[in-house]
Formats: sequence, structure tokens, C-alpha cells
Amino acid sequence: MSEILKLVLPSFLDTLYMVVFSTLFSILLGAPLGIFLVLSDKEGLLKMPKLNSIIGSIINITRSIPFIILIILLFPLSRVIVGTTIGKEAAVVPLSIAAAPFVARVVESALKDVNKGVIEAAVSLGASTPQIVFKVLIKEALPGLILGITLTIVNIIGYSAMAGVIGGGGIGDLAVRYGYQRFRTDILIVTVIILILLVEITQRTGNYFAKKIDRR
Amino acid sequence: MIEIKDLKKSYLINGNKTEALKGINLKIEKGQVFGIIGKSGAGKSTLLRCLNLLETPDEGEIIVEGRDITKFNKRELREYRKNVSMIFQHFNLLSNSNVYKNVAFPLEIAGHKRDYIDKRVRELLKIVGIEDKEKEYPSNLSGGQKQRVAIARALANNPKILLCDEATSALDPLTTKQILDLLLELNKTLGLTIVLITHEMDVVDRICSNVAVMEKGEIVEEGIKDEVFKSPKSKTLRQFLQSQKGEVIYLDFKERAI
Repeated sequence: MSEILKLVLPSFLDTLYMVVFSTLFSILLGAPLGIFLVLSDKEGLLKMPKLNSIIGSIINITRSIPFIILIILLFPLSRVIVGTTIGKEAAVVPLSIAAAPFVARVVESALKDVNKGVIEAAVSLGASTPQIVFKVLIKEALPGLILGITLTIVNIIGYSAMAGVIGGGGIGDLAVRYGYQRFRTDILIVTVIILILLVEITQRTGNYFAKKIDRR
Repeated sequence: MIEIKDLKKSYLINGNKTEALKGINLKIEKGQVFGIIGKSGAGKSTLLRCLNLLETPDEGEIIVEGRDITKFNKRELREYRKNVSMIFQHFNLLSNSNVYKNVAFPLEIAGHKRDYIDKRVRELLKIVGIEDKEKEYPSNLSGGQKQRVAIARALANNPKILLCDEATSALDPLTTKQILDLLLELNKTLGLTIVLITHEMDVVDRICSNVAVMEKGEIVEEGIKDEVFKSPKSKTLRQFLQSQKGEVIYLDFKERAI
């Protein structure tokens, strides 16, 4: 048992590291894009349909590249940013970039759900666009945003297992190296259970908070 | 106070050009409660929404206190909008903010200090008669209470003009009466100029000093309410007055039956 723990614990921490930082960076990259998509829409506050469709296309292209290929394509970038292509730090780069367009779409759809009348009321009261974004759009869409971010984290947990296989470390890597290649079924089972628990806890926590702050 | 000159606005609907406003000329004086009535699609909503530029007119001028608001840049427009508030049929409150926060919103965006905001919000809630509801969220309020919050929010920055977009159309008759009484009181005590659009004759009858009747993007008659109502010229107004009378006759009949 302690042997399994010795193997699993560091891998688990690596996975947590990848998930936490990738989520953070993907939100930092993706959320502004999502907000811009909403504002630049032809019915949005800034109305820049051309730029909107260009950015929309870039997001679609990025999302249609299979993740495993995206990681390989982004190896050079990992080397530039983190100095290496191996390890959990290096995996955060492709993970964040792969998840960012997903975050952008999730944020976009949550913000588009905000009642148009409420936005109009804010405009009629003399609110500026940044004030509307932060005091109206994000606040009103918060339950949807939380659910969207939860979905993103669950996705990143899955992606991190893949990233692990090509040198990122973490639970996925452990599952392949020990569980699969060394026929350690016990380790395979433990890693799968850990991933299931991780996803389950994330989803339940997200649902709980989304429901708690929803006053509609 | 407000002078509308030859205002035109058209929309493209499925590739067809539809003229919503066909050259509107109108004068609204300070302190009036000005009602614009008409059937659905007559253009009254478009006209009202031009007054705070939620709709941008294609042609014409809107002179408010000597300045043409259609020429305003973004910053001037935002300042202007703090002087001209609007309330809506569906209230349009922030659903994830409580009553206090909803009323504080226009004060926050105007950059006021916390102490002032606190004082002003309480003052406003008292004016509209819901000082006990400040911690409630809109979903727990009745329609009338929601509209009171919306009115408090609209009054926050001491506007000179209040635009009412079918503000009582989603309310029951009794609540409608209470909200109208509140609006009339605000008109009297604050000297607030009110421009409202409605298809409910009772609303016009109850609080308007002046009235304009719209048909197909044009104003077909306007003037002091009592005079206009005494000798209605337009088809719309005659029909509206008839249907209003019809209701009265029906009530009489019911009363006699009892």
C-alpha cells in the first residue's frame, strides 16, 4: 500500500499542478477573448463583425486540432517559455493554449445568456462599456461562468492525462508507465479512481457554487 | 425642453426597408407628463428610444435643453443619459444583485463615494416606498415592487426627464394605479418631466397632461389631453376611446346585474 502511495502521491500532485495552473492561464487567455466575442458581435456593444469573425475562426481552428498534435506543435513554445519540453511546467503551456479557446466559447455563451433588457437598462443609465462588462455582464452571468469554468477544469483533467504521456508527468503518465507497460493493474485502478474522484469533486463543487449564487 | 425636428428612422427587416418614424415633429415642455399612444408597430417605442439614443435616428434633430443630442460624442452621451432615465415594461433589474445594489448601480457608475451612495439609496427607497426590501433579490419581489426598484434606480442621479417604456403594461390594474400615482407624485414634487408610451388609455387618462397619437410612424394628432380627448380626430384615438367607454358600459351592466 505504501509503495502505491509513494508512486501515486507525487503524480497526483503533478496533476494538480498542471490542472491548477493550466486553468488559471487558460482563463487569463480565454476570458478576454470570450468577452470580446460578445462585445464585437453584430448585436453587441462594440459591433465589430469582421474582427469578430476572424477571431471566431482562429478559435475554431485551434479547437479542431487534436490535443495530442497541438502539444507536439507547441513544444517549441514550451521550450521558449519554460526552457524545457518535459515535465509538469512544460505541459502547462500546451494545456493552457488548448483550453483557452474552449474558455473563450464558454465565456461567450454564458455572457450571451444575460438578459438584453438588463444591458439596455445599464446603457440607458449612462454606463460605459467596461462598466457594463464588469458590473453587469460578468455579475449577471456568474452562475453560467462558474459552470463553464467547471467544465473547463474537467476537460483539463482529461487533457493533463494525455499531456502526461508525452513527458508531462502526472497521473496519466503513471497509469501508462506502471499500469499499462508494467502490467500493474492495481496502479491502473488507483489512478483511474483518482481521476474519477477528481472529476466528480470538481463537478459537484462547481454545481454547488453555481446554484448558491444564482438569484434568478 | 425637448424639441424633436423631422425625425426619421427606418429598419431593414428581411431586406425590406420599413419606416418606423416618418418625420416626427414634437415639442415637450418641462414638467409635462407627455403620453404617446398608438397601436403596436405605430413607432411609439422607437420614438421613445430615440430620446436617449438607444435607437439612433437616421435623420432629424432632437434638441434637449438647447443641445442636439444626436450630435453628442460617446462621453457627452453617457453624461446626458444620467440626466434622462428610463423605466421598462419588464423592469430590467440586475437579477443577481439585491434591491440595494440595484439602486446603487447608477450611483456607482457615476463615481460617487460610498457614504453618499448609502445615504442616497436609503433616501430613494423611501421615496418609492420599499425601504424594508433593500436586502431582497428581484426574484422575491412582486411586479409593482420591481417597478418601484426600477424607478428608484432611474431617479438615483437626479434626472430631469423620465422615459417610461410601457412601464405599467406588465402590472395588474391596482398596481398600475399605484405606480401611476407614484409617477404623478414625482412629477409634482421633483418637477420631473415624464414621457411615456402606452397602449393603455387609462394610463394616459390618469396622469398625462399632454398626449400625442401615433399611426404608422407619424403623429396624427397631439395637444393638451383633455382637448384632444374631447374631439378625437384620428381613427386610432376614436377606437381607443370607444374601447375604453366599452369597458365602462360593461362595468355598469355588471353593477346593475348585481
